[in-house]
Amino acid sequence: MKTLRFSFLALLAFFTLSCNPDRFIEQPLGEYQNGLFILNQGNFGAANSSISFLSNDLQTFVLDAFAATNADVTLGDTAQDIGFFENRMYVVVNNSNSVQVANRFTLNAETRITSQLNNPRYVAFGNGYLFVSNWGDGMSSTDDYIAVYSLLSFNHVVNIPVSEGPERMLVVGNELFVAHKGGFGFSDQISVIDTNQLNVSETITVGDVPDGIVEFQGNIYVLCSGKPGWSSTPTSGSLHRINPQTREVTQTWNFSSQNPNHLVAGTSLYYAIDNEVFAFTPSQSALPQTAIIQTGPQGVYGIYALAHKDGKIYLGDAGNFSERGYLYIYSLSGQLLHNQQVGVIPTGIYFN
Amino acid sequence: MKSTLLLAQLCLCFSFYSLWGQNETALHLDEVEVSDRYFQRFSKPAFVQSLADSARIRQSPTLATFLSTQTLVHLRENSAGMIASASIRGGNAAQTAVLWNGIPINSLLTGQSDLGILNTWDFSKIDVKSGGSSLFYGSGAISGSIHLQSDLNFNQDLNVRILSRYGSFHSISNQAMLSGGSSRLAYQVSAQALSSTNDYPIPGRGERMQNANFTQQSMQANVGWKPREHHQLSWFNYFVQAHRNLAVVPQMGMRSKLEDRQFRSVINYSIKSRFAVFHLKNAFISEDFDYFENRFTSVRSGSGSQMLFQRWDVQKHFSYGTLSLLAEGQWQRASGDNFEPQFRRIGTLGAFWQSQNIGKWLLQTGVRREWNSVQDAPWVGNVSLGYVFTSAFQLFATTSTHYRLPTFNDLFWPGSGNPNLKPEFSRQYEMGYIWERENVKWQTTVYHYQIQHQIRWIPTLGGLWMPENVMEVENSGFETQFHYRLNIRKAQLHTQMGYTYVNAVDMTRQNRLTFVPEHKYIASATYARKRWDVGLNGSFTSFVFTTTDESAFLPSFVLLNALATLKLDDKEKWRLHLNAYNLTNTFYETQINRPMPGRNLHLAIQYQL
Repeated sequence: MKTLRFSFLALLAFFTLSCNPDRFIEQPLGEYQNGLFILNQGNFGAANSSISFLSNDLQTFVLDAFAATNADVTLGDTAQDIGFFENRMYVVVNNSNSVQVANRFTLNAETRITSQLNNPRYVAFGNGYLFVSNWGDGMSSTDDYIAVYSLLSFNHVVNIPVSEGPERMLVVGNELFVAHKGGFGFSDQISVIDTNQLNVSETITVGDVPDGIVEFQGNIYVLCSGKPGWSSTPTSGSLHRINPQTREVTQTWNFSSQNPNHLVAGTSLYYAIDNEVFAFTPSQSALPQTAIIQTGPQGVYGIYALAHKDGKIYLGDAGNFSERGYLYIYSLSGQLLHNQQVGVIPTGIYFN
Repeated sequence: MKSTLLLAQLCLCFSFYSLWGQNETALHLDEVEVSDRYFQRFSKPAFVQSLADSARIRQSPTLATFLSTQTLVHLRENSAGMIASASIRGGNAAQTAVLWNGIPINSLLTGQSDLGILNTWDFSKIDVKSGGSSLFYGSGAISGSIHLQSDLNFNQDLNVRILSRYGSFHSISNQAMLSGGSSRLAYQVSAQALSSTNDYPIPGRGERMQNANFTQQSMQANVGWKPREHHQLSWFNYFVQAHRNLAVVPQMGMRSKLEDRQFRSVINYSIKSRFAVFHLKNAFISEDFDYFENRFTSVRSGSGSQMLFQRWDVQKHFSYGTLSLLAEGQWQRASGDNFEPQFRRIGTLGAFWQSQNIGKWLLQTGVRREWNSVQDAPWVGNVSLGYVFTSAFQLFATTSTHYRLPTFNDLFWPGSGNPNLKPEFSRQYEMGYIWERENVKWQTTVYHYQIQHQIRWIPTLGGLWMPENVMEVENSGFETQFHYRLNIRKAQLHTQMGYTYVNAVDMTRQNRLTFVPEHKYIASATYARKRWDVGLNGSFTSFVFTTTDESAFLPSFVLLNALATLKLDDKEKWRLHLNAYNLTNTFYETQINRPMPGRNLHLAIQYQL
């Protein structure tokens, strides 16, 4: 008994001493924490996609972080999207028909998913699955699908056929919402996929060319760009609120002769029209008339990527598409805070 | 459709004015019908790389390979056998005109010529001229021109030539030619078939090109006829078709293919009278292609264009020079899965003067004006002055203007086409010298030219790309070429060296133009003795920028090639050819992510009657 009590006390002492909070140092998970990635598409056919990294304190910038970490793995041709799940990053490389899997903090390449991918576009996660939207043959309207993989084994599970041009996706509860821009044509559909049954349970009709789909304050918002001015029947953009439980469009705001894109959810909703950024809170009845950010003075060519974090707007400018692009960081009042030259055609900004 | 158009044209053309404008010195040789009289008469003074040794030309599997290894032309190739375009003096592919028997054959849709499918077998003579020639050839000949000529020989005995070649990556090529004639008739028929698996290993990477195989067939049929004295008719026809899987490196997902068909026909009729020389040229040029993004499906997108061309010209000799007057009409049509048929009609008038020697001076001048149904072309002209120091040494200086019309894709592409585009316009200055003696030739030119309103496709705010006349370009540089032939007893040594430097600047950004190497250096030596003919050639091409802000580039490279020919019998009927390219197995690319082959060998056997 005495020895037991003594050993218990000793053990207790041991634990209290070793768990001294002053000596508990958090180990960094990797070089690429606390910052943002810029996904540079590169030129189509040139296999020069890259991932740039900028730290939150703006002190560290790495032009091609993926290549810096992986000397013998080429990211590939025309990377389109990055998704994060737990400790990994998933990079959809469109013209290499692959998804590159890497550690999101160290950027060490782990594996590459290549089976059943044909013209892959965007990635989403839900219910233990990885979903990748695929166009199939760009010129065919009947071979588009969502490829489904297990997040544990990366084995292919099934291909879910959908209508033409699936792009961005959003998982809410047990459902995957897929926005169909229409590929080389124009669509106005949102496919709803049950992530248990892995089939399309219904489709929702919104406006022309649903470009962005985000969740904000419990509802789903879809921003439709409208058919562009150069198409045979141009239409204006629209914003739709969808109730995720009833899956019905509960409110629509129409733009007048404008084609908005790049919908982002932050402290309010943000989107771009040409090279200006607007903010919108759905409690407002009307769409804003004035932009919060006008990029003209900075000579921004056009907004190719848009993101929001902690009261700041981040945008990517691709220039003339044959040169290195730029990242611009603005405050919500339109003041330019920082700019950074990145790789060729920055297509997405992702926070780590 | 094509054959009925041709027939209709045949019925149109026979009005009896034509004439033969001939090079008087040719009267001493077997008479040769020269298909491009402007080139033959007016190309000097200028920097011309004559590749007259047609036997050498035929040794190369494609024109692209030949030009890149034997001339100062910079080739941009989308890997071996694929689409290849030429750049001379820093100009882009659309500013280099390719002429077939005097007719411009650049695509009406893209403005470029795909040198990957113009093979070497079908031409007697290839010349590369640096500098513009819009005066003679109209739109497109801004920075240089490549002249492909088929000549017909009268009074020639029956000649048969057959060649069969096998090379690396299962490249098989078979060629046959038959020619002959009498004093009044000349004919030449040839055909070539080429195929290759083309899955070459990428030097230094241990992997092979994918989706790379291709086949090509071409046929040429030419006939010349002299119905009576001082009248001559010649008719040249050329058909080529190619099925190419578009080669990619293993990391690329697309498996596309391209099918091309091109047909060209030109009829010349000449009459030489006491008064003047009359010449009528009628041509029909058509192209047609189908692009399959995924070659495993039948989903395709295709386009095609047709052109009818007629040129009347009169040439009169005076004691102090020659005056040429021309009138030309073109009817152009393009259509495709992407757009409704579009048309353009062009009418042109031109006048050129080439003086005889006035003391030691030579003057060449001319003016040309084009009208067209879509937009107007500017007046262009040229003044060229030459000073002949001795019969061997000549100095010259030229100032000239040139232009290029927008292509059908630029004007009419659905949604993006810009019908308000102006033609590109260039002003050029050059001077140089030519020193030529029996066994040696050395020519050098210094040049400077600018191009205004250069068309570039730029992204607009809506995300749409549109062509605009936004670029201003200034190129200056210097070219030199040296040939030397030495006869040592029974052997013959021939060396050639050439160097070009170009400083090509986009004036709107003050950056160098993309895909233009600053330096290219070529050197070759061949040694022929008894039955052997061996040669070595090499080239150095400096790096090129691939982005407009000079942030990325393709590195420079050095290539070394060797060739050998052995005559197997005394009558020289049988020959064996061996070609070895890229002896050092160097990795090189002229287009982003489109590596060219490493070391490759070709062995051919040729029979000639």
